[in-house]
Amino acid sequence: MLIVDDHAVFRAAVRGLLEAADFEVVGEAEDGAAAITAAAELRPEIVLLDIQLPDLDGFAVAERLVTDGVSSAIVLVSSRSVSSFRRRLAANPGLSFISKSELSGEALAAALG
Amino acid sequence: MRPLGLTVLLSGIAFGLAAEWASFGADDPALAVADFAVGSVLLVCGVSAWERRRESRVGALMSLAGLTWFLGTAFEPALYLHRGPLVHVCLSYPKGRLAKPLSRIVVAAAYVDAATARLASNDALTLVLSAAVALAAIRVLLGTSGPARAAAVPALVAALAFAGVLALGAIGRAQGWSQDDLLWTYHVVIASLAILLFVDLMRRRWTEAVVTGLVVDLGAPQESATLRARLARALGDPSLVVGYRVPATGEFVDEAGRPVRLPSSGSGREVTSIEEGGYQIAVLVHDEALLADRQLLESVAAAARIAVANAALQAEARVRADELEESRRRIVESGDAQRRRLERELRVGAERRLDNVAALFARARSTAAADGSSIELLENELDEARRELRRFAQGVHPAALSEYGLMPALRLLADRSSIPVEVRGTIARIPESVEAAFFFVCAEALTNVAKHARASHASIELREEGGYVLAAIEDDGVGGASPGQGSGLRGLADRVEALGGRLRVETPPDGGTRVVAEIRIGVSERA
Repeated sequence: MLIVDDHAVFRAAVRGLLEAADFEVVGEAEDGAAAITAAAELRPEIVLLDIQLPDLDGFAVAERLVTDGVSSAIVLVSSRSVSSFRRRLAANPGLSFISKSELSGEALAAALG
Repeated sequence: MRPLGLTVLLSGIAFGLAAEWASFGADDPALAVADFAVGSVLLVCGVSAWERRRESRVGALMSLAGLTWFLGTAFEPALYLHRGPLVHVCLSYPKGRLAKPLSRIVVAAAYVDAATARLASNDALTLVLSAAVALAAIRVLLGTSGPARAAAVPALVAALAFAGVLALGAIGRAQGWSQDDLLWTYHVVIASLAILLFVDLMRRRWTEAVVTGLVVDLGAPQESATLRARLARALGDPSLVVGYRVPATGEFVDEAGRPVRLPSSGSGREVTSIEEGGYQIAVLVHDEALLADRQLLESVAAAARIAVANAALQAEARVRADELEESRRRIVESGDAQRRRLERELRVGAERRLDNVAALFARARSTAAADGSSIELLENELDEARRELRRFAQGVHPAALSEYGLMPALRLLADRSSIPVEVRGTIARIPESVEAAFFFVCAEALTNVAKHARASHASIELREEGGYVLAAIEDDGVGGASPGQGSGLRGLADRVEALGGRLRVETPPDGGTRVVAEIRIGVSERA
């Protein structure tokens, strides 16, 4: 999987958390542009994508990844709760969402179905 | 003399000469001369009065009587045409406006009669008309008082003389009196009444009548006409503009609050000042021809002073109300923008840090081995979160301000600036809202200095002066700031104005920028 977030501390924490839950983290990216490049190169099965990135909006990055066909599952994360993004998530049925406060290996597994 | 007046006079006289020559020729030189003399008297008196008493329409009406007189000489069907304007003159003297319904009816009837030769030559009808003219003139006189009555007396004399000579003609023809004698009498009476009214119109009394009329008019609140319209009518200048002075800016606005530009010299427009208690409160912008009768102009300006002072207050109130509405809207908008900014700041700052902390805890728990680096990371993130919360709170309201007061808070602000900032002055503690306004003005000004001014040094000076507290922020940078640019200074100007103060941005000639905020502090408002 690929972790996309602009805070290195968060990426490190999430990497530790998910590796402990037996996910294999193949790469990290700090913004939308880096995420698109890394995804094309690494072909991750899962992309964990923060919505508030310094350059692109997480939804825009997700759309690009879907068009490029480089990933099988995209999970958006944000500090805000799901209600802030309900409408945009409904418009993109292929995307899952986990709020940062609930992020864990089980939550990710559940989101991926 | 205006080109129009001169044209009317010269072409009228020329037309008159031609008409006399064509009608009488050499057959009856005495009658031709007399007829020409009467028409010329009407024209000369009419055009002169028109020029010199623009506030009255009598001159124009009398000129019309002169022209129709010559027209009647030239064309038989127009023989009686001059009677219409003459009756109009007699009943509307001195203003040239018909005030009474009876006068309006009689004048209308006189025009119809005069334009229809068959009616005008009917002696019985002429008798009825002359009686009606006399009655209407008496009615006009009875409706006046004071100086207006003094002006109405010659009008009555003229009206009775004209009615009399019309009646005399009608009776005389019926009695078979000498046509020549009747004609001569008619000529003499008409020329005399034209001269009488002209001389009277030129005399001083007129000013009083106009001013009295204006005072009565201004006292009639039920009239819907604006003050500008009433003054324009009194002065006979429809283009008159009343500009009310806005004390805060020294500029002039009209009744609707629109700006009034004062004319430049040589534009044909002149300015007369209206003062109240030694202060200019308004100006009249008028045709320069009104300067010919300075006394009238000054009397009208004096009579209208109180009404103008009133209207000036109303105009100012309207300007202030517009400004107030605008600034209230901006305050609401800036409050919303501020909240959005704070929300964003909290999210990207402290909240993200706490997310990191939560993720670190989750990792520590799942790996069941909290190593040293995890603890260190956790502590770092908590520190960052705390710092960002503190910075956020400082942006909402600086703690130093409520704890130590304005001057120490400003010194802390200066210490944090990227360029050296000198803080000068001492003031006693003032209301919190005023302290906050000054603090934020200084903070925003210093932010602007750091962002745009390319300055090497700045200073903040506070002082009290005649019931005001002033804050001046100066820098030695490139200048060019203005409150109209960007929302920062505009928002601060609103904040300062909401407290009854003013914010101005100056660019001194020797460079740099100077922002000055001043707020009045009442003695009772001392905190």
